[in-house]
Amino acid sequence: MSTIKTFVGTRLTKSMLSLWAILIVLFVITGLVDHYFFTVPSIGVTFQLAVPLGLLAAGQTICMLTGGIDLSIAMIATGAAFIVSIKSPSGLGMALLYAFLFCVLIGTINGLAVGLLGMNPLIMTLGMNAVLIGVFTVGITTFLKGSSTMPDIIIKLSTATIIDPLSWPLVLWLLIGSAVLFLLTKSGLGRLIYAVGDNATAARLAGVRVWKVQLAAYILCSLFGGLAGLMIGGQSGAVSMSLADSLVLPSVAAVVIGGTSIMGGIGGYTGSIMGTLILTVLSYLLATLNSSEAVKQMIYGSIVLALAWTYSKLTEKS
Amino acid sequence: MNKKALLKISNLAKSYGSVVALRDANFEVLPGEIHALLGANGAGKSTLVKILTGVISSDQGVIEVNGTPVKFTSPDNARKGGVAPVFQDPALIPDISIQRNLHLTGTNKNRFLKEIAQMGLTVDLNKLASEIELPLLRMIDLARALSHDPDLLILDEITAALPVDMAQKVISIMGQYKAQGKSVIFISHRLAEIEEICDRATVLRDGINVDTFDAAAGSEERIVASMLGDKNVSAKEHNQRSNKSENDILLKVEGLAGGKHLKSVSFEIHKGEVLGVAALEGQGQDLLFEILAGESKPSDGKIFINNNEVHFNHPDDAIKYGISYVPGDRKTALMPQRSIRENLALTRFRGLRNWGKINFRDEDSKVDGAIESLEIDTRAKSQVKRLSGGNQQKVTIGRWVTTGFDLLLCFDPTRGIDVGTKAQIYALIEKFANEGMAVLLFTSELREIQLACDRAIVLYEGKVQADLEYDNCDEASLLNAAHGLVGA
Repeated sequence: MSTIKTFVGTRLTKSMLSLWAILIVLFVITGLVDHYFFTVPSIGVTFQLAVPLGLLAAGQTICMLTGGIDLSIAMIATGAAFIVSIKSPSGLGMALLYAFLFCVLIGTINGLAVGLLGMNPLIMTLGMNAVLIGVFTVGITTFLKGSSTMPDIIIKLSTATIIDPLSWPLVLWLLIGSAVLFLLTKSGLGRLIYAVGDNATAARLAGVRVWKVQLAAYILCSLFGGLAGLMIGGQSGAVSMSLADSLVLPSVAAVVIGGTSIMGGIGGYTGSIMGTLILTVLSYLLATLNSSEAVKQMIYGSIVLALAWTYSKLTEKS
Repeated sequence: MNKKALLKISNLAKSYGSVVALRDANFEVLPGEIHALLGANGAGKSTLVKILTGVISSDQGVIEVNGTPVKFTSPDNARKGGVAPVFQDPALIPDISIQRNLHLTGTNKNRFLKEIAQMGLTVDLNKLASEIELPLLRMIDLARALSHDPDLLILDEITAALPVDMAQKVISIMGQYKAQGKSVIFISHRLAEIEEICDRATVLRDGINVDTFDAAAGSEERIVASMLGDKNVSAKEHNQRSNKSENDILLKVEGLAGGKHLKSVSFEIHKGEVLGVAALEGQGQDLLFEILAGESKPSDGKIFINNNEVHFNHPDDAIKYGISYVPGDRKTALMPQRSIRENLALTRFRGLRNWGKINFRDEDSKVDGAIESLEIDTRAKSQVKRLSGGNQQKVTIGRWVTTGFDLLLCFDPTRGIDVGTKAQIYALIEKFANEGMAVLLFTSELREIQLACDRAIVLYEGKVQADLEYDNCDEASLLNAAHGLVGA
């Protein structure tokens, strides 16, 4: 009994250790290329920039653990930021409420389509993404016309430093991250998220209403997307259609790097946090090397493909 | 043993991480011999077969065919080397036609049809593999293997859950094959078959060959003894419980119908009773169990629990009425990548009110209780896919022990499970009944009815053909009724 325990223990630490190793190596390389990177304020800013991706990855982790994926998450983020900036003249509370309702609505549609209608999550959320792009493109010139600046309080929560390198966004991430970890490891819903992703038939035979779990996953994912959108909006000060565009692939990549299976049922948020940090440092490094956005996307894409291939090889073996 | 061995295996070993699947396997198969390979679940049989057929590679050891060392790198490679396997789960691609399946493995169509004809079967080559029922699919897989004229045929639990007539066919094919001077490695948990057809038997235990002997009639005891080693448990004789009255009817079914096969089934089951269900393949038994479990809906008929009519839309509804279901294919009930604990505790989280914080103390006590009462081997507890078949089956039953139930629906729970675990499962069923729970037990092994049940119904053409008291549940009576030979 104890031998297996240690066996599994070392196995998990091993993958965790390799993530740490990758992070440290990247960190050192980046520091060597750009000496400013090793200063406290720079580290603080790097962490701050990691937070939106970390939030998107939280949503994506939950979705992917159920065997799903949410490709509409970037437009949900953009949409939530738009709604808050436009509704902010009528009060922050109202603005946040509208954004919240928007996220719940989109999450519900995604969740019901996947859970009850049995739509393929890739197709469903990709379609939803296209619909949202259309709605907001038309909207900003008509019914969503108005302010495109974020409320000050959100800008502050997205950027303000408390004591270097600790900042408000980092504090928020710590709180939300702990909640996600609690959800996945210590709650009944967490157990069901893994169960549905590993074998939905088994879950149903055990009396679980699988669609309710999927619905919850997509709503949660959507809410994390919205939250990330507000933070990205806060960090850039103003909202635009392409606000979170470049973060769709990284949100998937961070989760996959962290060891969560694209097929669902295995993985967790700790890995996704590591994946987020690795991608953030990588992105800093690429920026210092003057790489264009196109090069970055190519690298993210290659990472996802390489990892997906590695994991499928690994599972094939066992 | 003057004859030179066709196949010789020496010191074969294979580990998955720190889990040793095969420690040191040695044995020989002679030309013209049917050699039984036996062992409890987890003894290493499957691993050995996978190595022999090139599915996986061994860590060490030598395989010799006709005195030449070989190393098969793929099933195709093994087939060309004269070794052809047929597995419990037919290796046919479901979504393409039989013809294309044959084409993929380079099988000669005419030769295949000849083999099928010799079995007395007919096959529509244009049908998709997924449209063909499992027993026939296995025979097709067997015919395909035979078409390649292998020197050594490996049959891995091919008779498990096969209807009696088909199983008999497989056995006669093996006899003919042997008469041609070819050899067969035969893996089965049905000891009667082993004694009937096999020349010698090798027993594996904990990845080592512990015994090889002539498989004559009466060797059953020796087989069981060497399979189990010192943890010898024999299947207990059944104690009859006799306190049935009209008042303690738990479940009553009237005229239940559905699908192609289930026409009109009526029966009742009392509290504390184990009711056996016997039937040949395809008499509607699968659907009967699914309907009672809330997984399928009937097209007609009524279900009563404690005299109240009930309707199930989801397994959860059945569970609320105290009905638990252990499906025939344990893969459908398990989460392969999750731990024993999570698999056992799964059903505790159905219902929105259980979505919050887990009560770990309560979970610990229930899970530990189930592990203890079912004697689940927890050495590979981190992922149930690493467990042996018997242990996996215990987990599917143990899940319901953590929540409690009034009626347990067990569909062929001992399929492909070793003798020792079978005995444990019978004992468990008996314990449930003694505690006042009812068990509905379908089994494809008729012998099991008298080992585990108080009474049995026999289904034939979607109806109850016979309702037999314990004393009349002998294999012959069950078999007659299953073929529709006795009136209800």
